[in-house]
Amino acid sequence: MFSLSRGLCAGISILSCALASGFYGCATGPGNPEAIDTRPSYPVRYATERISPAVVQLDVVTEHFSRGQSVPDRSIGSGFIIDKSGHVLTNFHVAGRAKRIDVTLADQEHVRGTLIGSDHWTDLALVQMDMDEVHRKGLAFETATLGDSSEVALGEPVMAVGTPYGLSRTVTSGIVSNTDRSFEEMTMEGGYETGWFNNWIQTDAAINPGNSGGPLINLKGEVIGINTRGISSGNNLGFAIPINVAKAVIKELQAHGKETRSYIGVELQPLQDLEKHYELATNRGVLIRNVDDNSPAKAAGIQAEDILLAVNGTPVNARFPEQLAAVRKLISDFPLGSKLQLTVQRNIVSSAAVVTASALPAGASATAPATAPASGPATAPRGEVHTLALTTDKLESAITEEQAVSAWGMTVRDLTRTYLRDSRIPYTKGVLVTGTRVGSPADRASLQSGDIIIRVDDKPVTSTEELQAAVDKWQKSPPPVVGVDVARDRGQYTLALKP
Amino acid sequence: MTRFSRRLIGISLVLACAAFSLPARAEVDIDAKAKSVAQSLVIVDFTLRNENTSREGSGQGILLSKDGVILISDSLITESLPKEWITDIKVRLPGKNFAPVPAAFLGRTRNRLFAYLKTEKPVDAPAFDIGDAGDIKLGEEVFSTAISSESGGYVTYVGKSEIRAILPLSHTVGNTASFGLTRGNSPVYDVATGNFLGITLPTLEESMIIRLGGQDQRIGLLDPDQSATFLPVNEVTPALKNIPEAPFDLRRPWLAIDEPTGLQEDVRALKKIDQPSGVVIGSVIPGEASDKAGLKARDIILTIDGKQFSNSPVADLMVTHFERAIDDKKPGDKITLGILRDGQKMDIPIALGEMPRIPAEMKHVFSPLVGITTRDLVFSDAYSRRLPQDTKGVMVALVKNGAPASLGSTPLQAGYLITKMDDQPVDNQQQFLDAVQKESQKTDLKEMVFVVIQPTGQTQVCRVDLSK
Repeated sequence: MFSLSRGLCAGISILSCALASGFYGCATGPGNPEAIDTRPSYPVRYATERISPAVVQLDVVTEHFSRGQSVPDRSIGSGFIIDKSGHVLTNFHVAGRAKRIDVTLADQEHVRGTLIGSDHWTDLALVQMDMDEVHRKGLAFETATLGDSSEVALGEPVMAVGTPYGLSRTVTSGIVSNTDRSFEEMTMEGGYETGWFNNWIQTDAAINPGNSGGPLINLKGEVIGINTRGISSGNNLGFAIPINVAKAVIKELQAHGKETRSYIGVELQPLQDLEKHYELATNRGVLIRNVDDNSPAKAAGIQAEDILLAVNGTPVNARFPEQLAAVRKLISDFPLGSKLQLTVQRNIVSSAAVVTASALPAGASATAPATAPASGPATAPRGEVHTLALTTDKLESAITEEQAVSAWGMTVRDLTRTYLRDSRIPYTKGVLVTGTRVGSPADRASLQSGDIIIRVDDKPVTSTEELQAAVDKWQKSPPPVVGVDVARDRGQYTLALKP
Repeated sequence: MTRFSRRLIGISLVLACAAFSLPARAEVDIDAKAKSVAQSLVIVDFTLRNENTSREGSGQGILLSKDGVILISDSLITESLPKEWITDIKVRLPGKNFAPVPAAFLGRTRNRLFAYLKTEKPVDAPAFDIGDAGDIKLGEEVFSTAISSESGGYVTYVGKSEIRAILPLSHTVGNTASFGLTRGNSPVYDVATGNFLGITLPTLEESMIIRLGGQDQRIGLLDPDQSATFLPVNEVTPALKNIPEAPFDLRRPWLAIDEPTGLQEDVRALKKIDQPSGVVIGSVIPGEASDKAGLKARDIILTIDGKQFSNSPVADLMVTHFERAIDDKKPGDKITLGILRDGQKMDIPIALGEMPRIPAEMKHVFSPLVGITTRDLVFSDAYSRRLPQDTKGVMVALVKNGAPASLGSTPLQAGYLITKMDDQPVDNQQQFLDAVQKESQKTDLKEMVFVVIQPTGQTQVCRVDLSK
């Protein structure tokens, strides 16, 4: 009979337990839950404890213009406190057009905030908490530590903290999916240009509407990005503005309320696969595909198909789309009115456009010998390098603040040269109509969105202030009808408006 | 987009609706009349084919002469289609068991409503007989005659209805829910007398394509199989009677003003204009007839050769009537426009120009090496891109799906204006085709690099990979 002694049975069970513990990690026996450490790992605990007291929820009231009327709109976003003075960093699209901001701290206390600066080009905004209220209420907050986004590594674990869909103090986690994601130049709601001068950190940490403006942190609890956008039709595709981009912008917003950039009027195209055609070394230069009319670049003699090689001696390269933002930023970072030397390789091969030294604008120089014939068949060698000088202009948005002219039932905006250039309208002074309210005087006069008001009652109107002043004047004793001259597409029309 | 007076001109429509049951009254023998008329009705088939698509089109035609001239609706083979893309036009004749005979396109009518085809050989079928013209009256009972398509067995059928409204046509079809007539381009008759009243408008399949602002906009009629609107006899008789014999090229007169609008009542009061209707010039096209004559933006045109051109109170119709009056002239005709400018009345003599060619009229050529169809430039190409009129290049009309030009990070697209190819300027289509021909001889051809102007007016460099 095989009957094992009790001791042997105990020995066998101890042995099998020991074996089992090798598989299941139980120190004292199979299936012991006490031994399982369910807490988040130390880095995760540290990072979330570090950042959470600095993350805020922003409840924002904006003025939204639709169909000729101003309509208040409410939205929720996130932000994080960056210094003891109570500055909160968030996105432009959260707070950049706010009429009222309520900040909810991590401990759920409320305080009012004020917008003190914004930059739609990088989609950032700076909000100041009401420090009087903070002191009066005895509120407490922590500040975030800003990291270095240039150190971010592909695959690095990160976390996002914010208020997705109003769920405040939500932490999500993932990894860095891409450190240098680029998109084609974009605009955001309202037509504001954005994303021209930076790329994004892509993450699969869940980022939803409401997360905007909140921090993306590494496991040291340092902010490496500002969560800004996602792709709604995808899964786990979130994008954050690198914190290093924000550091420079913050300074400008604190000092001036906005960032001023330079404009020269060139549109760039990456050179991949065109190197052979333009006889260039790989990853040298960037292609100028278009030069804006009436721009510093045009005045300097820069032409489409020039290869930009250097700016003030600094080489610029863009073989791939991801490299374009850096080149644009290099140019735009120059102070307004800077004198720049652009080194370009000229690629016009036909005789008509051969630029001899004498034909270059004043201040330019050709480094190739000017022995190319002035006329005759195309014989000029490709690759003549020229240095052209220009003075930078101010980078202007196509968009300005919308305003309501309630007496006439319409909304308007000032024109900018950028808007006129983009719309290819020959320069006109006037006021742009952005919407009309059904049944209003503007609507009954057949004013339309897109019309440019150039004269009212035969007097020129060049700004929204002038228009509002004229309208206010008539409010007191409205005339039966007012002639409004507008530019629409290519035509000019007189409309009869009954105030 | 630009508009240079290409709206559908003003004519009257007649709207008919489903009849209620009415007490019996004198009627012509509809069965006999319909079968007789149907002898002159034909089915027109054609294929629209280009590198990317192939579609069949079909509609009804009216045989006008024994030589085989057929009247079709203008929108059946729309003006915006290049002739290279219209193939296999065939006409099926009733007398021959509807066996198809080939036909060629002859041209379009001045009023943009009809077009003509002609069969290769004379036909043995009766030409359409207008007969007596009838009066259009509200409430009048009407019927129309048509032949069904192949799926219906090419049988003769009728639709019966009554006239509900008589509408001046602006640039939409004024239509209320009504059924009862037959397919488009069918003759319409008075039930009581059998007199000819008009021709039905095309249906959804053959729907009217109205050219608004340079972009074709399809007007959908409510009932896809039945037309409920017809053009009255006075509008259609010229097209039925002026039968062409050979292909013709209709050149239209061109005043060259952009964005004309009707004179709104409020503006009339503001400017103290006593005349009820006028047309306001939005802008003049630089260098063309209006500009040369000294017309300016915001001028108000009140008369043509001393006569009012419209007595409609509806602003849109004023423009329609004005454009129709101009359309009745010929290129080169001298007219005098009575205008109002800054409160002053003046007479402006003007020699009408010639309407520029439209894109579809230019020769379309497909280059298999690159995979694009190109055409020479027309006036609107530079004008819409706000480029100088002396801009040279060749227009991309089509990019074949999957061809080299459609691939890569900078594909070519329809609407791109090619100005340079491999560093050589491209001034016109012939230069482009010659250059492509030369390149195709190379044994080591790897790529072609184009400089293009996009529809936005901005330039771009496009590389087409041709390596095997």
